[in-house]
Amino acid sequence: MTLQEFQVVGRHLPTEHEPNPKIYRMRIFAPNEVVAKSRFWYFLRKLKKVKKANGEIIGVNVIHEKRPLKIKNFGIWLRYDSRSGTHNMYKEFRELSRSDAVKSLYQDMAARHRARFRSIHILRVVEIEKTEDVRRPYIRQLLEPKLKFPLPHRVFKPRSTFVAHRPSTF
Amino acid sequence: MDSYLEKWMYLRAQETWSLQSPQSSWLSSPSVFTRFVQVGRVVLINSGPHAGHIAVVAEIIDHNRVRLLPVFFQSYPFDNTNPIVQAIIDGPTTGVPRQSFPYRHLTLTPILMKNLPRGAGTGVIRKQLEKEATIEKWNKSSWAQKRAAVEARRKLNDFERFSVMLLKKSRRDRVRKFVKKAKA
Repeated sequence: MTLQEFQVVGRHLPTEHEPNPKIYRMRIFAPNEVVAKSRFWYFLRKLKKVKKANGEIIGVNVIHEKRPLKIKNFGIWLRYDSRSGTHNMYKEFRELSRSDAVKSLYQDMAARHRARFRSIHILRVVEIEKTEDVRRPYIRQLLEPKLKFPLPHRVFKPRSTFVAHRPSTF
Repeated sequence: MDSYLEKWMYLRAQETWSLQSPQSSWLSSPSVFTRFVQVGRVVLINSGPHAGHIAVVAEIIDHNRVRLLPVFFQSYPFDNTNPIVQAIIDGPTTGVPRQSFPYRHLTLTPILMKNLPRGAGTGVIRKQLEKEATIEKWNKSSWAQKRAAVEARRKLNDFERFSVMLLKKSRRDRVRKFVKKAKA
């Protein structure tokens, strides 16, 4: 599942009382357009008195990364439901695009907290411009000017299932 | 005995220090490792459409860490170079495009480009590659030559394999005759 960033625009249907309803726009990370629209309605009905039955979607666009080859540090604010309560969190990621960062966030939350897609709300995704603003040590250590490290444990997998020598894995 | 204890404690102290700041220990103290993931490191690609080509590390993205040692890795981008001895294939030298790549599918080579700034563009890297003759260095290395030989051997058809067999036989024959003459 690769994620994309969508811009979803929608509004309440025009009524006699309100012929020109307010237009809402959201940036949503979703695997496809269908999920993006679904998430739009999910968030909008939590925030405003609009639901799918009385609203309409005006447009859905994919937001592409402006510089997909530049490495960026992202700060992500999120809210998630654990088994015992709701928590707010801030995490940092070093990735090539916003959607990649959100993708790793979902992986990370699944790994560390067993949190599923449905129990995570992404609140904000911000690119951290300055090195000083990086808060987390696990990202900070990658920003060292002359960073280098060895690859100490390399396990090579043979091409064939049947080989003459047993592989050594240490 | 005391001296042993002292030495052990000293080593433990060093260890905890290196655990606290993993990079500084890799950077400052001499390591038993000789090949590092670093900007300018020439790497060999093991999988994907560019498998068998070499490339240069332009910038490090990150590592997924197990404890503090970088044992399990993610991606980093690297930059264009030529394929290994692809003289067999006609046409312009096909370059590896700039992309992120997991360490899992890379092999570090002993070749390191000097004076390559972090995150250098494709043009800069190409110039520096030409200046330092990195690709020639790689092509001259016995590793690359062995790979090329294996590749060439794998591409032979049945008749060519037969010809190789005959050539090897004649070589063997000549060597043996010469040895016998020398012994006698």
